[in-house]
Amino acid sequence: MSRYQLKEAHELVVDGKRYLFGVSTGAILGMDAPAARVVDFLKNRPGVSVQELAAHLESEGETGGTQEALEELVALEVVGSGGAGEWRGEGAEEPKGKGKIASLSACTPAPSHPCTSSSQPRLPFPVRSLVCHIARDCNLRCAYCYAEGGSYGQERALMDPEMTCRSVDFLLRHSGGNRRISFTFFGGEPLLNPQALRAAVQYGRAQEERWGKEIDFSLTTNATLLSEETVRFLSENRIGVTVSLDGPAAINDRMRTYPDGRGSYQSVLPQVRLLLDHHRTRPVAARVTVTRGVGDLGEIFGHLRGLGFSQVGFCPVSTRDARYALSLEDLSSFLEQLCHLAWRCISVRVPEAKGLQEPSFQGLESLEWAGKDLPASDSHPTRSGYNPEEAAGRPLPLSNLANLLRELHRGERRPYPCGAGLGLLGVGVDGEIYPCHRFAGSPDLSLGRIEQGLDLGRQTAFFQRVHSTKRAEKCLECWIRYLCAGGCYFESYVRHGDPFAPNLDYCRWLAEWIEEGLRLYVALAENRPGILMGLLED
Amino acid sequence: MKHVKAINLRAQALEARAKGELPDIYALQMQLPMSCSTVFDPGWEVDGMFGLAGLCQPMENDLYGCSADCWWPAQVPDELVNYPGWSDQCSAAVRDWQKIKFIQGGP
Repeated sequence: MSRYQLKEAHELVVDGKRYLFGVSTGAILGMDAPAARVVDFLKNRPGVSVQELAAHLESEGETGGTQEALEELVALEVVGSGGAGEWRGEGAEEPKGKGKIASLSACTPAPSHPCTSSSQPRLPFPVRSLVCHIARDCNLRCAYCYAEGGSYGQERALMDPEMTCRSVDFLLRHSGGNRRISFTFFGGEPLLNPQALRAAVQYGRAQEERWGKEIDFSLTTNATLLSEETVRFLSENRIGVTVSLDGPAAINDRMRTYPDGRGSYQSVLPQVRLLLDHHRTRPVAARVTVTRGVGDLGEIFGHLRGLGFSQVGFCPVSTRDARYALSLEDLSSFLEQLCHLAWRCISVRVPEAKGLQEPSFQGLESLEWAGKDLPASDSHPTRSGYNPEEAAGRPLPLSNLANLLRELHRGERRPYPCGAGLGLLGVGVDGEIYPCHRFAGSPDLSLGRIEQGLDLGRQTAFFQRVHSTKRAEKCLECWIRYLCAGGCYFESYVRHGDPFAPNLDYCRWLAEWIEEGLRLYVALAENRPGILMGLLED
Repeated sequence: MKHVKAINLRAQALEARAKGELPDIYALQMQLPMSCSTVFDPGWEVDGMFGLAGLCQPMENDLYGCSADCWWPAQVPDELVNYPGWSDQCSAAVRDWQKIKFIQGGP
């Protein structure tokens, strides 16, 4: 006799209708009344038979469509017709069978830790993205910079253009079946080394045909060194540009300064205008670092959109320094403002859509799901400076939201938090390879050298540590674990000195943000699917 | 489907598979993301989050098929009827594998 039980799912209500997000499948499902009744009955009831379900619903006077709804829920993997591992019984019962239940550990000697076994990730893994430090130096000294003024705590240096070309070659050789690959110029400030930039782009473009691949070049810059000639080069070569800029002068110049303490905004502004006016081949994005105090995201967003950036992304600062790091109140304010901004971006595009409601979010009570006894935020900053009209143009101008909607649409499930060490690698100015660009200058995490190639032993050791340090154990009860997969290695490194430490500092924040994204996604998918598809294609 | 609506692509893919529109085994022929199962020892595969929920389909289906539908009853205890608590102590296989129970002298 088949028995049924509910698999792990996160439930939400949008516009009075009930939806489920399958934790392990990533599927988003809408339920009608019969399906919802089945789900409600199965909650906290392990191993229910169809007869028990039918009897219960009959006693409630509700029987229509039960069997059919159950079958659909099984087909869509919300309900398991068997002992799904996600269910944990409320207290173990005594076995009813004749056999005696026994513990394996009582009978077998314990081997060494399971993760130190001979099992290895399947390597080499085809590289899709290479982030290359062509300058270990910067002309700004932003107070919050995790790279310590662009130097990464080492001697300031530029990458030899020949090494940059070898890095392009490395990417081409190690990209396996990937036809579209990306090469990012990073620093420090990469425009301190225009020779390497030009050499690598020219070399790469010349090699594309031979390899049958397309290289997507991009650059992250503070924009201080952009000239007419450079902008022309970027545009002609279809190089994507992201500008690090924190908003209007009063906000930007608090952190983003020259070594003599001068704010950078005034000198950056003409260059930014030049870039936005003349870079025609790719959209130009701004990246805002959010620091202590947060500020008014609406004002920052409106200002940067007003300058002409097609997308604005907000990123929390990576630091433990209490002068800049976000407090619980800051994270709460950041989240609340980001949710409102997301909602406004969507509602401007779809003013009449049903189901779009102001975010329900009311502040973080703690950072972790487990809950720490910390005070809730009472800060509700005003949102000014944002003109919804200007958000009406494509693409979806808030990159945090655009990325989240895409992930939810595909129903992504991640075995790792990001591609670091696999499809994504970073290269230091000296040709040393790292799991990602943020780890440049951490010799203990080197994965090889550009000239010799990846050191498979080191790469394997890195993932053995990922597996063996139990960083994900804390995540086992969390409904976003297959979207977040434990969080950024570098954030753990900054906060706990160990890239493999549990990264619990943003759990609650991320879950609330994803919940808001789900609500927006469902509202759009249900009411204006055409517009949703348009947003996702951007 | 009449009662449950597949909203996103993943849900639509599950629906298509349920209707028989996708071959079940297809996923294995593709270049799978590395480590859909990260560890194989001591006989338990775990996913990237050290749980059992996110394994690639064939393994997952086999395991659950073992414990519930009893088509391969020797592998793991029948969790639904006779031994509901056999895996209660093993929420993380990597950590807790020794706590997984087995049956001595079954029916």
